[in-house]
Amino acid sequence: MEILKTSSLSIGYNDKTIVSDINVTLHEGDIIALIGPNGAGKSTLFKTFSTHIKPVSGTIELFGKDLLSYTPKERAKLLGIVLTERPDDMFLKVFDVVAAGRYPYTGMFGKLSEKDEQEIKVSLELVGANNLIDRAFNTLSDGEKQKVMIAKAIAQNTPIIMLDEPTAFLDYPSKIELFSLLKKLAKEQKKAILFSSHDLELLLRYTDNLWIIARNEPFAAGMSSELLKNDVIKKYFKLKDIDNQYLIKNNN
Amino acid sequence: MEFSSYLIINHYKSGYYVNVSCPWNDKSLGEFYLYPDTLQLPDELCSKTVIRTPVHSVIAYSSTQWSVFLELGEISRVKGILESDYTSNPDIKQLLAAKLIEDVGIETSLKTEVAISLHPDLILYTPYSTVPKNEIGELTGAVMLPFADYLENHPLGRAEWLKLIGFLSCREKDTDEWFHNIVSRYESLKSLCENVEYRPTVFSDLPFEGQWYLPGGKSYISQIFHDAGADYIWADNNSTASLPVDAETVLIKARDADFWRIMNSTNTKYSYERLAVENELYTHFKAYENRDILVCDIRQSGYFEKSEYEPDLLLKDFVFAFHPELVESDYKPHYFYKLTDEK
Amino acid sequence: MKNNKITIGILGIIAFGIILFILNLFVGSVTIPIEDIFKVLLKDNTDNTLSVIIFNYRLPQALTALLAGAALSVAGLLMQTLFRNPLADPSMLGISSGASLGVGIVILLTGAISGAAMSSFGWWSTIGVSLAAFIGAVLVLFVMLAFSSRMKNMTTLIIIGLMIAYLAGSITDILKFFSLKEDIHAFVIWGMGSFSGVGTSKMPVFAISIIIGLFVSFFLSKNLNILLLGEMYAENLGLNIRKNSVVIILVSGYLTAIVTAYCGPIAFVGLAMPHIARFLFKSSDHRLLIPATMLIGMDMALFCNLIARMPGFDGNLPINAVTAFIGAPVVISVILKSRK
Repeated sequence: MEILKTSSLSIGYNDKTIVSDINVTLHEGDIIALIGPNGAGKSTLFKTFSTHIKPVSGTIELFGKDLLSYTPKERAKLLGIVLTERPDDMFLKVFDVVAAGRYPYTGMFGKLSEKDEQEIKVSLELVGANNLIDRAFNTLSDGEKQKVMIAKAIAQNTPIIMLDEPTAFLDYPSKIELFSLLKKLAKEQKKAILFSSHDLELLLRYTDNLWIIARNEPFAAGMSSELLKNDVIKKYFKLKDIDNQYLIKNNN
Repeated sequence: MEFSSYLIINHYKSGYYVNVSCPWNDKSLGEFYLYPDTLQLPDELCSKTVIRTPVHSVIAYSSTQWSVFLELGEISRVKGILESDYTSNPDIKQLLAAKLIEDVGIETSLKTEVAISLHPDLILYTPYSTVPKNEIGELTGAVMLPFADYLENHPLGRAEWLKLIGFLSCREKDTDEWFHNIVSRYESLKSLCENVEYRPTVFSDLPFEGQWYLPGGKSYISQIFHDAGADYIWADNNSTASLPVDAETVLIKARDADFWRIMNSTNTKYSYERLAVENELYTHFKAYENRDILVCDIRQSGYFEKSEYEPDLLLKDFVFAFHPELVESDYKPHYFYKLTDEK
Repeated sequence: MKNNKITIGILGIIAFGIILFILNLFVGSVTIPIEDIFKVLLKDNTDNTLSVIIFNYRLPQALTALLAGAALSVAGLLMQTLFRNPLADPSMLGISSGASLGVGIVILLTGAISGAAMSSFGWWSTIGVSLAAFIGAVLVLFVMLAFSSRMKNMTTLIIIGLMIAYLAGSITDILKFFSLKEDIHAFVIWGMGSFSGVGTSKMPVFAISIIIGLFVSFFLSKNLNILLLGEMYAENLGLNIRKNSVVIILVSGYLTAIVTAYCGPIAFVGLAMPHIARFLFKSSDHRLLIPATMLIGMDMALFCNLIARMPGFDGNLPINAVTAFIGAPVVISVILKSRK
């Protein structure tokens, strides 16, 4: 099922276009890696999708309707984000962070219903962090924080989850764990997952679908194997002298 | 001097020796020799601070200084004044408009260049314990003479400073007579009150931010209350300066006082309603309930400019309020009048 | 913190507040024997002056302290969460400076207009000062609102607030420079803060204005909680960042403006009380923090008012000196204790 679709989308700040002519579609159960060198426009695309900034031109449709025509409250139930930014309040507990995901569903004073509490526990279980529920958030390790933030996005109960650089600051085992978690979410929860990364090696190893973005190059989307075959990745990352065989997936 | 605590004037040869002291240190604020400009200056005075009289170009810090020149008809000797915006005196306003007197700014920011351009030979300034003497004296070459009238705690001591202006303008005979008349009128009124059977009690002022700043027991106003045959509630206090006193202490001590003296610095008149709106606490004082509040409209009455040299009138206003039988029945108060409910 | 612990904590603060409130009625520069106080309270008094002191002077003063303490503390909490800066307080928006400028204009300029120094503390000084403080505060508030509705970046807003504060401060200084010593003195006294300026006659307006602001602040707790995650997350969760910051600035600015108008610029309370609440309850949930901060602010203001009016002084100590003197050690000790 088609969830998000862009048509001739140009993104940038204050009418200054960074990337233009983006035509992509996000389906239920998709797990897509947005790759590209630093500064190529990955965050800009994220911010555009999360309506933090407006598109320069073109449209984004969410379930067949213009993204901007949704109210903030409605959008909050459709698209959840996980950023590299972390809450830093001393007394904020893990439970509070995940509970924030229920914000779009609670009443005027934010009182949690039993259902909300249940969702929070399930979300933490899903990321394998239910043992952390009473901990102060800023005492957690980077990997634990990442899990909790993802639990927040799960509790938000949106068909799309976008993650900005989710592998940053993580050690290798945590990265592997993260990818399998994302895969599980896409498969079991039927969520569409879009995440950005510049961790090329890891991406080629663990993901199938790539959106690739670079300055002065057209936006490209496709299966990682095809993009490799067509030298798109080499070109976009300016990896001129490297043989493709070093980049080919070797996990099968 | 008879009444002044801080001013000494003695004969010195054909001139005068003037010494001004102050309460905050034992050292004199300055010694000056007044010498007529028609006579040869004695040799021994060459190294002293000398003022040749009569003075020709005076800058006056305070209205209590120029008002004496004005009264004597010697105002042409005054070339510059401070705080000219604050005066309501029509003569001074006219002189200012005609540029015969210049505005020299205010104490915290003097118009130094204007002051220099006036070529003053004398600057009468107000001495403060915390404020250093302005360097304007050196810049203009004028003698800086401290006029410490406000420090005097006796009404006649304050009035006596008019004599200094008399010496400076060579009109000492007139000022002597003037002061003598003030003293005799004041003393005779005071002696009338000395043996009154009933001495009403009185207190003073309005609070600011919940706190009263009351005149000290040894202050000028406390002395006038006493001389007018009344007992100031804080008369036992030994201070000459104002006392910060909490509202509840004032309530306890002064609630039953017979009279209440209030200064009004605004342009509009006070009324009992207005006082009640300002602070409900006022309505609980006996003086309020009995409509025995005495008000002075500072601006309309010219209180700051004139009252210093009319202590007898000031005293009479209070006697009229405290002991009406001692004053003619059709007396019209000059400064302090009893606030009534009539508009 | 478990729920019953929170309840005990809140009840403790309330009980402490009640004791302080009663002490505020019992203690002052005039020493009134306990039995006389009971006589007054039981309306069995022979001395009417004592009843005036207790009901018409001490009672409105204690109520003013209580309301002002609550208002400033909540305003501080809102600022700290909005700007995600533990050092934020109501003065950061330039509101106190705006109020000071308004008062400066009235005290220092009307002195010049009325032809006599304000040192004789006329009618204008009490009513006019409150009005001027309010107008000055509200003007700065509107300027800040205009900026905040235009930008999302909180750091920029803090800088603009500080710049406005400097600007207002410099105009005040210029005014002071051209003013009489007596008027400057009156201005300095206003700047020291006082809880006794409200009195019984102005109490209804003051109390209702503060209660309205405090009431509205409760409705902000959900949005404040979400802001703790950071603006980007909050926005993604459906919060309209600009609208929300406008509302928060409006509420905390309004509370600060009212208190400053009636009591002068009371420092420190707004900065410190939210910290005490957070450390005491170890919570970041504004549904708890708002009432807790409010109650702690009440207690602290009552305590400071008590100290300022200790028997033995003929006059009142300046509230601003007392708030910082009492408050700073409390904050330090609370932080040290919770770090152990």
